Amino acid sequence: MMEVLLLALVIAAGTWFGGWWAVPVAAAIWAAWRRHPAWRAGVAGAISWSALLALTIPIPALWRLAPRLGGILGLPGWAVLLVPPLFAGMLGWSAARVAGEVRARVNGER
Amino acid sequence: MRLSHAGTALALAVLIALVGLSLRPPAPIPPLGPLLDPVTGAWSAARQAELPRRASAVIRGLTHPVDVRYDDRGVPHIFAVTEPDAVRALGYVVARDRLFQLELQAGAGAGRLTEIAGRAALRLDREMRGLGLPDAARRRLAALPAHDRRLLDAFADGVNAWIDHLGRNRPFEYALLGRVPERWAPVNSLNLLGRMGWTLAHSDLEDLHAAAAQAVGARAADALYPIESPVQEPLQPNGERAPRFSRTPLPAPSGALAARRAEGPAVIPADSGSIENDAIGSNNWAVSAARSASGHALLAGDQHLELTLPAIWYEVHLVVADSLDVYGVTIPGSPGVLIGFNRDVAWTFTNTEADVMDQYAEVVDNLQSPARYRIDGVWHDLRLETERFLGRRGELLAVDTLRFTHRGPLRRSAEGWRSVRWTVLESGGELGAFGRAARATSAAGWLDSMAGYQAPAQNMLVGDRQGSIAIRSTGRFPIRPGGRGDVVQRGDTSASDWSGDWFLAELPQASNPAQGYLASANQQPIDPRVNPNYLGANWYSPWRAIRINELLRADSAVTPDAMRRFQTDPGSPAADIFAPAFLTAARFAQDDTVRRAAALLAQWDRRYTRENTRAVLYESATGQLQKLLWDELDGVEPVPGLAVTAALLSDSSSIWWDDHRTPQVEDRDRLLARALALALRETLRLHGEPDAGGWRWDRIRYANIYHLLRIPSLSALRVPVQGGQSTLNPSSGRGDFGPSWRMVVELGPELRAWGVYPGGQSGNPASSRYLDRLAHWRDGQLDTLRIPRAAAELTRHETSSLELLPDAALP
Repeated sequence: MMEVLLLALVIAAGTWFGGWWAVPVAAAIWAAWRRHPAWRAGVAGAISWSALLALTIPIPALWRLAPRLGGILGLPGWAVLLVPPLFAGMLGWSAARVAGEVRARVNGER
Repeated sequence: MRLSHAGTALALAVLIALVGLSLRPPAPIPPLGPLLDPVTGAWSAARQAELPRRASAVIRGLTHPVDVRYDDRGVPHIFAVTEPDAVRALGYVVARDRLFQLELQAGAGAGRLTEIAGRAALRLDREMRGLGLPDAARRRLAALPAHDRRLLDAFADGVNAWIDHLGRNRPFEYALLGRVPERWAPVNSLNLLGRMGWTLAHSDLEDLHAAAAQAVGARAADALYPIESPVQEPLQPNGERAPRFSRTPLPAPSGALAARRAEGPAVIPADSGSIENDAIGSNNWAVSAARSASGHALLAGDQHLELTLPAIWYEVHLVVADSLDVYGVTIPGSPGVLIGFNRDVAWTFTNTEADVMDQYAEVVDNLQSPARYRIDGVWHDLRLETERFLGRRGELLAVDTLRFTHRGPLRRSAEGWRSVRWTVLESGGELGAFGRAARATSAAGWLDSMAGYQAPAQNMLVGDRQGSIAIRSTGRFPIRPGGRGDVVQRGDTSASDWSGDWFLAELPQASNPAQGYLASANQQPIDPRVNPNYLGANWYSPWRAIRINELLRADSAVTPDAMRRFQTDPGSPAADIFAPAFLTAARFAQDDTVRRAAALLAQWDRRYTRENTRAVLYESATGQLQKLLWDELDGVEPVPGLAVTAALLSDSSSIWWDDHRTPQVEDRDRLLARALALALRETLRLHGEPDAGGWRWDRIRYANIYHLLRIPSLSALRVPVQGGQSTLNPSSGRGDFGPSWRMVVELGPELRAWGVYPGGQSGNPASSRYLDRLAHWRDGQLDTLRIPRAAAELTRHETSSLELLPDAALP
């Protein structure tokens, strides 16, 4: 659990200072460093972006924007709030899974 | 093992898809990663939704610190030491609230919308550049007086300082489009003025007249799109106490129509929907001290323009110690207040609607690709310019060659090539005029300051604290040797060229008239009996002007609140003429549908209130009438205005009442009755039974205020408003035009003012100030405007402050 939170922190910092690409890069490095279930990187990605949304943006403004952005994406306001964590989660999971596979092949683990 | 491989393959596919969609998605999808990024993506707009309690910034070129205080309506009050510093601050605060609007409007004026919106905007961009608007802006910038140029540079400094301050934090629309803000150039402000000229002073009277002449003959076309409006209620009082209606019979149609009549009746097209008009136009009026309850002059104005989110206007107060104290609205991109007031004078505009654009049929050396044109028997080289149109990613979309004669841009037409001469392309001096006018201390002084204003021509209404009121149609009005400008001129002779301009003293104007009030609403500004010189044709029907005059004649002690109520008055002089005409025509009808329609129409009080359930029938009936009546025009749009129809009512057996598509010959009453029956059938079909709820006016007609990108979820749609076609609060067509800034000013010892526009100061959809004024605008309410003389006076209503510092103040 601590490991996931730590990864989430790294992803959040990377996103803050770098951009969205910090999610796949951090997840891939984490998975290449040692063997982990990839879903944990997905959870870390989702947690980090949820935290960035919830902790750095005033909630009233978030609620005003959600239905307007939702209208553009064809989603209800509450659902559109789930899109960034979902995106980061899928990005983190897929990058970790691919990086883990590369690591396994390179190390001859299978 | 096989499952594991499948999982990895799936992960790889997901990764490639997400990264691909984030780096280079197919158009029109924006890059997904940057869009969803919670730090810099679309959501980050919510982080900057509200202005911080205190902020400071450095602006290059600032000579002294500038103190900006925002009041509780989000209006910045700018206190500066010099005018260029105030304008720098203006650029900064406008960009802070409206950066995307600035860029989009500048792109539209420059004919570069394709770089934002892609190929879909190519036609519009070609129109802008083809008319020579960006070319004229570049030339005007080069010729600008030094003081005006300094102000444009200062405004650009302010906008660019905000862009620098933004860093990675892009406004919402930039995240959506995957763009970064482009730096502001001084020429953008002039492109914006050119774009306003296109909106307000572009006309195609020549094409309309030619099409009508082809259908019904030149003489009839003259009468249907007349130089003299058949109903006169001019802004320059003409000594009449009521509108003057023309009793001159319309000449019979001739030409192509006569030939068609000989062939027998045609088939009536199945489409018989109502005709809709766009609510574009404006109102203004003022009462002198003698006719107001308080003994102070009063002034009101509302400009009917495109309703957008954010609004076309931005409210601001500029104070420069001992030299300037002006409050009002600016169009984002303009370096000052356009409509508003200072401590002594208030002013507002309506569009003059004069014809200031002429077309000339040119003789060229090569019809496919002309390089020279002939005039007075001598060939002259055309000036050629190459215009490149780029797409969203900088790809080349099109290349056009523009050609210019000495008159202006040369454009291809069905018959050959026509050049265009247009005052908007030759204007200048507007910026200086606004700057001087903002410092005027009397109505007369204000008009003097505006003497050099050229385009787009405006009916400028002004009042002062001494109780004076005045109005003048101000602008450059050309004199044509042929006397009129609504027909295509010969291009091969210099004798066709404009021979001068109207003198200032000749312009339609009035000052402190005996009647004690003045009003304009885009009507023909001067009665042709007073001045018969050509100023335009096919004038707006004067219904709004008539209504304002009715209201002001009836009230000898006008209050600011009455001025406010007048702005959304639901009465319609057109309905007062046409509704009785329909009822009279139906009086002896045998047809049950006509009788039922008349019974329903008789229940209408002729007021376009939101809850009334009969206006819809009347609107449909006038639409049907216009379609049936002007069948001779065979599809020419627009059909003649309702003023022409109203004048025709007095000639019950005119040939124009006959619908040539039917075997029988109709007269006035037969056609009116038929229009009424058609209207009832259509209204029942579209809206159900009269009292089942579907006929409520606010379910039929409403305002649609679209976001600049026309994204519905960012827009305010189906906003119920009081008013209809030709009322003071016009609501017609698609509902995307209407009153864009309502203002009332009382010019007492301490000036008081009220105003509202639809939307809010912020262009950020996450802001509480994105739509905070909408309810007041919808309900016809006005906000009290705060007008502090010094920053300290605002304290109780201050919500945010901004300190702007010269770059020398940096450590």
